[in-house]
Amino acid sequence: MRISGKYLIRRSIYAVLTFFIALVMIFIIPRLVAVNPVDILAASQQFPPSVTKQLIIQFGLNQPVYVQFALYLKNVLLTFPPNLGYSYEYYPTSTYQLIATALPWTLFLVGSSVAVSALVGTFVGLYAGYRRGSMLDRTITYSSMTLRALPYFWVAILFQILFAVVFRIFPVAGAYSILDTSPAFSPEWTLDVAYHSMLPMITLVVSTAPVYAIIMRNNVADLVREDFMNVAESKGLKKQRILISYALRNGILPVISIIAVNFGYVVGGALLVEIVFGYPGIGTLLFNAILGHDYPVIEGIFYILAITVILANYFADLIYSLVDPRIRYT
Amino acid sequence: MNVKRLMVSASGEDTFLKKLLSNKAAIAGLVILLSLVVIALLASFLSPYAPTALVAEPYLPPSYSHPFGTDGLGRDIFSQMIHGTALSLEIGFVSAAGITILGTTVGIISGYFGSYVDEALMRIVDVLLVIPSIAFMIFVAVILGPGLESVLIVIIVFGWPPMARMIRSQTLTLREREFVESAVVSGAPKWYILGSMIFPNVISLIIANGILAVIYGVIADASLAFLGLASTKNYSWGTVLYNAQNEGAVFHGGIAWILAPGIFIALTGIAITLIARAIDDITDPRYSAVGR
Repeated sequence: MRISGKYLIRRSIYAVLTFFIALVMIFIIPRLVAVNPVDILAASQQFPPSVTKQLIIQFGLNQPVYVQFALYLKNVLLTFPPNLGYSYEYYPTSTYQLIATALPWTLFLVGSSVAVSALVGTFVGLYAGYRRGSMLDRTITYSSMTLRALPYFWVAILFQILFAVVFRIFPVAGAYSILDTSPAFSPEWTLDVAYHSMLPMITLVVSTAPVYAIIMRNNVADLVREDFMNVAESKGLKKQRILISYALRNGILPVISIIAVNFGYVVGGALLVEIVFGYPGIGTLLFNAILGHDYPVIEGIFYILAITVILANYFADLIYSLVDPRIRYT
Repeated sequence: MNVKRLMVSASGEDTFLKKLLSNKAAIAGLVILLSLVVIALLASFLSPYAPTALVAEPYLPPSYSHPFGTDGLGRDIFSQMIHGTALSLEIGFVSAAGITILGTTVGIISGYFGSYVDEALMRIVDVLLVIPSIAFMIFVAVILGPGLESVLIVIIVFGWPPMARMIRSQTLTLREREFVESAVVSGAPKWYILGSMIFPNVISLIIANGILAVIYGVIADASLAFLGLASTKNYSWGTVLYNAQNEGAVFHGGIAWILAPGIFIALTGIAITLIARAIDDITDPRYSAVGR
């Protein structure tokens, strides 16, 4: 179980390259359209003139584009914490501070829902594939197809109405109750946060688990025809044993690779789900920034999202190469 | 008997269309999709009111004259949904066309020519696949400003890479097949091999994925509209849902207002998945685009 050095180097170069292209896009797209770069970073009525002046110098906004790009790289890459400018709306809070407060909530939501939905999807798909052609298989396949065709945020609204307004099982919105004064990470606080995250998480699981279920089902349905599965059955092995040691172990690899491929979609979906539930993560921050034309915050969010998703993909690929030995030699 | 004969092609094999029409799932999908297309085409005849006209009191519950009720300004939601069908499907089909043309061209060129052309094109695809697409769509839409054109541009630009990759891998396996190799050896020109050997063999994959791209476009548009990034002058299903959320439909008993757009999007999605799945089953039972 070792990653080959050649693969590690090649994969790392791709990750850095991808990140660099994303940076170039974040830098160039606003400048292709906007008349004046000052509009993007420094033109707010809220800023005192001294701050505007400071931003213009820091980001070289009155200098040629290549100087601006060099300064942009210096500010976001070589400075810690990254200098992403100030929010128009929440000045003097910096963009970085706003994002740093919101990001953990989004990562918590995405991380937990990806784990749960991969688990649920894999086992549902495993069972459907093993019983392929049965009533159960058809029910699972068609309901998965239907669920996959629904927009995440619509499912979120439905769940909100059903489980928070009609039946008051879960809170309507927020990530913790405002009345609760217990300190962060105390048992009461943790329980409260878990309770508030249930509806957004269930929404994401219901929207993403079908993807894994369908892939797993197709893999296992193919595997069932293989000789080694027939041998296992004729040896009289228990069904449980066949499912776990034979079907699951052989069918799960493509699911792992899809987790990485889908990560970007899940983050995108989580942004919209957060907005519905007023969850204080990146999605809600982005929505408010769009409403308030808070460009530095919008730019900053895409910078952070690009890093997060590219890093997640990078590590997922490395883990995948550990699990599947074939990939190491390609 | 005669009729049956007519539907069989010269070689004696059933035609693609006949196979498709004898597939129950495909028929169900086609019926749903065609009904939606008819609603879209006849939108101005079918909708009782103009979508922006103030016709009744605000927040009316569903009734005979207003099947889905009225919105916060007293506009008829039923009419908005019918006009929304036209715009949503238009966006879906136009973006699917763009995605299909770009994806197919890049995929075939990349798969057939290989070497550095393939390497360069696939790196672009990799980058676009890794970058969180909904997020970047939002970013670009914010910069371009709300409007139909910017919505279409961002959907197409971030939508073609998965298709290009799929067509490329199919082209790669075709290039190794004997009938293509023998054509290459016998000196057939490249355009002939591409046009009459590669393209006809990837066409079913193109159709299946092109149809799936329609629902991708519809949902992407709905997501952008839900963030207020689509033009609010014209109604798409996403705009109706955006209004429902922003005008507090939940608190005014506007359940039909919220349900309608989602159900229409879901119907489109189900119809398209059924058709794409049927095409897959017919042309290559082992390959499944549904599992994408």
